[in-house]
Amino acid sequence: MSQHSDEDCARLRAQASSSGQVLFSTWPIKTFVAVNPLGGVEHHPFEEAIELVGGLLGLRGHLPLQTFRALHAAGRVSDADLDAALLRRVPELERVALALDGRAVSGVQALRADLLSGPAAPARARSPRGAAEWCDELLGTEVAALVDEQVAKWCAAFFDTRQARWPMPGRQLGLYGAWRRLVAQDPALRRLQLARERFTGLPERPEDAILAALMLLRIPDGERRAELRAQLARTPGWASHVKWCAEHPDQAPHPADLVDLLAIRLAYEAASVDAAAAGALADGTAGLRALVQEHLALAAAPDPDARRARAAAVASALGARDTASASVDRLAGVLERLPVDERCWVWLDAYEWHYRDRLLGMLDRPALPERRERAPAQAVFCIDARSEGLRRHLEAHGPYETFGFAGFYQLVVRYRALCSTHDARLCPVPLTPTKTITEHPVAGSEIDAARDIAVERQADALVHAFHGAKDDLASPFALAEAAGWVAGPLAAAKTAAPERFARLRARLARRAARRVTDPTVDTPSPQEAETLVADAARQSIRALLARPDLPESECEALRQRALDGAEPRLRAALDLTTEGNAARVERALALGYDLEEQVFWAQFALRSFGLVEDFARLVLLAGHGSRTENNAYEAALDCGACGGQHGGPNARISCAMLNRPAVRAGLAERGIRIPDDTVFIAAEHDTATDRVTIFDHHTIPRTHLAEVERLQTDLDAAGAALAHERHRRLPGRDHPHRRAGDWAQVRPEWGLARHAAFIIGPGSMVSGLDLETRTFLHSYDWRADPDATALETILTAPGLVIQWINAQYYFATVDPDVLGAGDKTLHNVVGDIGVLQGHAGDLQLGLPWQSIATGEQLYHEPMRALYVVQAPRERVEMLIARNDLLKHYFDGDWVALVVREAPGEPWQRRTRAGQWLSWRPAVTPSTKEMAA
Amino acid sequence: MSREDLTRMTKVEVVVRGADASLVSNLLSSCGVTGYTGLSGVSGFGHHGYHEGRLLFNDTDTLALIIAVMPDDRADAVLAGLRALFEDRSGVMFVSDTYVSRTDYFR
Repeated sequence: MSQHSDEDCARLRAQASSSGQVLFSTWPIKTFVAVNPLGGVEHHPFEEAIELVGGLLGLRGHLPLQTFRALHAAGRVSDADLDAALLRRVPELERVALALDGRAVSGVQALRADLLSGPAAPARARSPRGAAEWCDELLGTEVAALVDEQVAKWCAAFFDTRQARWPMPGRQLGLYGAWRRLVAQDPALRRLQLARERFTGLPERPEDAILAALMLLRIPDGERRAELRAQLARTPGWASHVKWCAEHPDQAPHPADLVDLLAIRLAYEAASVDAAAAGALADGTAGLRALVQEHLALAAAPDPDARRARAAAVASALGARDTASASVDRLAGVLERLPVDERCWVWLDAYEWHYRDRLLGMLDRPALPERRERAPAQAVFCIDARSEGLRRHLEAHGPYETFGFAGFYQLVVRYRALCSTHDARLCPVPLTPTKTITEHPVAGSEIDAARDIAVERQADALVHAFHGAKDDLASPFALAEAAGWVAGPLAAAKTAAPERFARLRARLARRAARRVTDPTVDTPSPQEAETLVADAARQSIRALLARPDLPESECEALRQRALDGAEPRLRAALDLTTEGNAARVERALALGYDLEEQVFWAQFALRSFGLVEDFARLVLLAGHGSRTENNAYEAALDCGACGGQHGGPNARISCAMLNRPAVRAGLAERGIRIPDDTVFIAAEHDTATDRVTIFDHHTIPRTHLAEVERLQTDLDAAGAALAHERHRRLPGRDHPHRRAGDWAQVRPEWGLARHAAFIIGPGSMVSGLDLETRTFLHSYDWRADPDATALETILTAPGLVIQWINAQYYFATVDPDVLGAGDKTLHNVVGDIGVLQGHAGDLQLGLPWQSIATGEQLYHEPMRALYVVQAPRERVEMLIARNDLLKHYFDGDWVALVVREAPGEPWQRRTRAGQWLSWRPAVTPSTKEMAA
Repeated sequence: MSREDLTRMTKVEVVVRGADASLVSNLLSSCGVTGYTGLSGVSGFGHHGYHEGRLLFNDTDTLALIIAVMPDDRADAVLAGLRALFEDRSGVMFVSDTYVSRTDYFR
């Protein structure tokens, strides 16, 4: 096949990559984080973005009209809501009125009747469409689905990293390279009736393959981008994963990018379409192209009768008997102020404000009286909506003061736990960690730590061997023989009594873990770095010799002998050479934070959630995570702020720094005085069971032990109450404690389903209110934030993450076929990256159906988030002006915004155009309406 | 200072949205460019208004500057690709002559 010039190839590559930008990147499922599926077009306003991508992916972008009407019948959306929404969208409707059948009808009434009874808009066809789709439509073939199947098959083989025991060869050549080597021998070619010759001698560069295919399909230059976009949109799941690989080459195991994917896809399409067209038309693909142009020209003509039909339907709904008169024509003119395909946006708006009116009404109360005495404890939880319940129940058990703060505690770190062999990135995914923090055993606990590491390693090895043997070709039989007598009863126990099994396992784990550790937050001095490296080396020696009990002195003697040149086995296995040691010391010096950094972090963190004075004796910092069984989506239930991990380590690191006298001295210099009797303690909230575990008891001074015990008792009671509350909202009879341990449970908890708003303000704003775990809360006191940097951070960091979560849930609910992952029970996991429905097909994107619904009944309410901010309006306006991100969100209607400066003042709503209007709840229209 | 012992090459500087930086680096690599330098958290003022620089906890919403140096024969493909990229992505590029000493790094 001919080689094209480097310039043509570069041009094509740019066009292909650019086409991919409308698609989003998925994160592999092992670190599943919610991303806005339409993130690629987020800088367009919401409706426009859906218009842009909707045609391409076949999206609706909102609930169907029938569903909205059913919600109206059920009372979820009222006439008042609809009227208010209509006036928000088309303000001049207020002054419009007409006469129908001699009766006066207002513009609002007319359009409300249209919303409730008007004919539905015609379904939108997919556009643009690729060559294979046109071939199917115009020549009656079934090519597109077959190509999708092949592409998906090769992708699954290439990207699988774990499940398959017989991996695809040649993957280091990249996606296209590896495929090119094997495709000619694929027996599927014969089944698809594709000539083998078309797939031998394919060009080495994927760009050449694409250009050849485009030429064969007679795609003109001007339509090239549209064609490439349409191609990628056929398998958006795999395309998104490939895009992720291209953007994160360091994390992707084998090279792949969208040009590779397009080359493979177009090779199949060109071959199939050429064969089909040659069979059906005299001039093959050229003829097909001509048919496409004809079809497009016809489809563009608008329907002249639609306008009249719409007016007639509305007139009859309003009770007019004569539907052919001139007043009906005037009615059509009024109706035109709201184009048919924009009706659903009015419905969405009404649906959203029904909830928002209630929320703002609840929040619209005067300030609570100032706290008179010192709270027994202050508790900081993640902004996550699930914490709302825990805060509420805890406050009911005592005069506790609670706060919301992003669960990563502003620590952009990589964390290596003692028994772990890899680093966990514990920060939001858009950020890159700048620091590494480790753990070290406290003095006297080194032997325990070594023992624990050895046990973990053995357990890990056992699990790995078990799963490895399961997937091999012959060994499952041997495995059943060897381990069946243990595995069988264990599986039975896990199934029959999941709660008891989980509790027993947790108890054994706690007893087994005897080590006591502290996070290593301080940048070590050179001597300390040497010591750290020496300690780690001694632990490694114990592990290598399988002698966890080896005394320190003997270990040290071995280490020294190795460094001096003796002990060749230790030198080789553990790199115990002078150079190796020096490199490790270098790396150790890069760990942790120095004092200046710690003080800066502490000051910014405390100011961010507004705790800068009146500290209680106990301040609890809690992270959160979710422990469930057999759940491919477990990362989705963990802390999003911590990159889909458990937030416990972040809390521990924060407490370690805030308890240091040197840090407190530095804070005092900067105006934040923490009393000497204040102790920070770290904990983790398990959102599946609502149990809160306090860490590092060894750091709690004796003087505070009794209070900590009281706090734990109250946390247990609050957790139990919350679990009970959630039990009522979960389908089925199983209590959350049982669900968490049950490996057959497809819905251990609801996660963030039904979330609706993000509240930024002091805890007193929501204290005592039952917000049904539907709101995120970030504590904020604008008077403690003079230069607005804390508010800017809250809006652009957690504010971004919450918008992504909101968009992910929204689109998975309204377009589950494309942007949802379908029924969990049919899922098969592919490597670490994602799931398939059944055994083949496109990678499933987004949340599974069970995350948002029960059977046919939706649980999540697809609404765009409302951000509620208590701060001066000018401050918020200034931040919007200087942050593109906020401009896109608020001007573009992705997120709604209300602001007030203090309790008692009216809420101000920001419109798309940047105007601020006073909020008023929707008013029920007068009952003097046209008789039906 | 004399340039006798230096080799003339082409330097290309590209300013794009942070989210598009990987497109540019992918393009450069595929054209055989041996290396590039990327700066993030860039701010600036231009056609589309003012772009604020580094946000404390957000790497994606700013601009990026990518600098690459390549022999002239490779520059043509790179420029063709970048021009195609700018047909539907915002950004600018500056092309200039430059001189390098470690030629083996750039071939």
